[in-house]
Amino acid sequence: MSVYHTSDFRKGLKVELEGEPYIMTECNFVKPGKGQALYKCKLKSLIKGSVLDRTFKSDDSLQAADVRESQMQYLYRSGDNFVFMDPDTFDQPELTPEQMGDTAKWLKDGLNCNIVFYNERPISVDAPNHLVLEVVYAEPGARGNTATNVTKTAKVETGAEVQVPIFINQGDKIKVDTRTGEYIERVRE
Amino acid sequence: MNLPHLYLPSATIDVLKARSALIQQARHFFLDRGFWEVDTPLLSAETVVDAHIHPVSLTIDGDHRFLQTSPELAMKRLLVAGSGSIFQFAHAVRAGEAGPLHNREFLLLEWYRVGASLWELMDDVGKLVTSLMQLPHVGSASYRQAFLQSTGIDPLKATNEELADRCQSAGLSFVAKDRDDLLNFLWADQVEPTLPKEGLYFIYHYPASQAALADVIQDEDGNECAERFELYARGIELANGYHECRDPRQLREWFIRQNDRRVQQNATTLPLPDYLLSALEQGLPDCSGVAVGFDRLVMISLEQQRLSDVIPFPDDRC
Repeated sequence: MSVYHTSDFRKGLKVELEGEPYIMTECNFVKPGKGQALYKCKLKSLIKGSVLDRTFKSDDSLQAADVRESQMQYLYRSGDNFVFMDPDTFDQPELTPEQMGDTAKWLKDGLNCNIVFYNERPISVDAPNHLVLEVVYAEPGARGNTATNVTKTAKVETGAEVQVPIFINQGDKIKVDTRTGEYIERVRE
Repeated sequence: MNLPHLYLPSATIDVLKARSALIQQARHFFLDRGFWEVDTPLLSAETVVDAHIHPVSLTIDGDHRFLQTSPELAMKRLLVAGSGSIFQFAHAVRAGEAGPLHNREFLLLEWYRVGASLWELMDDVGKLVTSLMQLPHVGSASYRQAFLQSTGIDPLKATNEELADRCQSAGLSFVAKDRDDLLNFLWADQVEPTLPKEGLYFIYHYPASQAALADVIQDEDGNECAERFELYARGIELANGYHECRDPRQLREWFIRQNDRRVQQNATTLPLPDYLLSALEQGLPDCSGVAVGFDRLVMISLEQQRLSDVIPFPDDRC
């Protein structure tokens, strides 16, 4: 297992801390007055997404985290779990609802997702940033109301609820940002 | 391949010309006030002994030498020899210091004014710096006041356990045993970020345990404190000054203690600076001295973001 010394510390490094994988999102060298050299880092948990502040001294080091990402296709639901397939190896990892997190609400058959593995265990999954989805239910909009700053709730084919402008109707296709859950635009075919 | 052109300077020629003009302006500031410019060696058999300053040592023609981490020792030997008030632009080299605000080799502007108190020196520093950059003087605080205000902790009274607890909850990844290491971490983590960003701010009267080569006195509350100050400009540490300690015994003890701290952190010990200590036996005139990080001064004055914007060839391309 490789080790990163403080002189290797930089943004984007994937490291292990107390048995969990983190990504370094910030690293600043500070040396106050007559004090010792310190590396002030921000570490984001690859599992929980929470951010830790940690300060290291110059002879400290961190274990590299064995993290890899791969593109996999969503196949089907098996009980509570979600089954994916690696298109190269045909491996079929199963992810629990906890591992899926918020991404579950964007899944439809055949969707390509990015799965993060830590020590060969899947730990998180991201849908593509943008998806085009069909609206399966929307309150009818009041006739003549074309204001774009008024929104209503619509349900899309994957089951997610999205705030959409008043002019969106059932059967329309809309583009959404899966990171924020926000409506982007109506898609005309 | 899209390699950066590392043979080119990282600073623009316009910035380097402006840097040169600031150096000339600073020279005139001192010459107008009766100082003269000295020029001391970069290679010396002795160096400042400090727990957290790591000099580069080398062997040249069989002789052990250190690249100077500041021109302090040589300038004090000149003061003992009767130089009167002196200034110097000196390159200094410190190992292990690299970042947007650190380059291992950097330019110091250091000066000593004979007969000046700490307050007079702070006044001089303020005058010089405001003549080189458009920044207001926004105030000053003692180390203790600033520490108390930002952390709620009294740095003179808190126990080591209280300091260690606070360090741990702030994310210090290791257990520091040394009280000054705990104080320094809290200073960097919680005090420095709260110092005013809009101008010049002085911090004075450091704990006696952080005196370095400054004199130790009693403050108005009867606590021992170091006659030392630091200047922050836009929240960035820019200068470190002392009303100089003239007692060779006190300094010898300080250096020995620093070597003990170096041993604790597995750093090599450094030889006691005998030339300096012998000179002090002869008698250093009452004086105050300060070192200004000139690259940082140029950076702030020209509204640049990192040292590499104002240095022609920083560490990554020299």
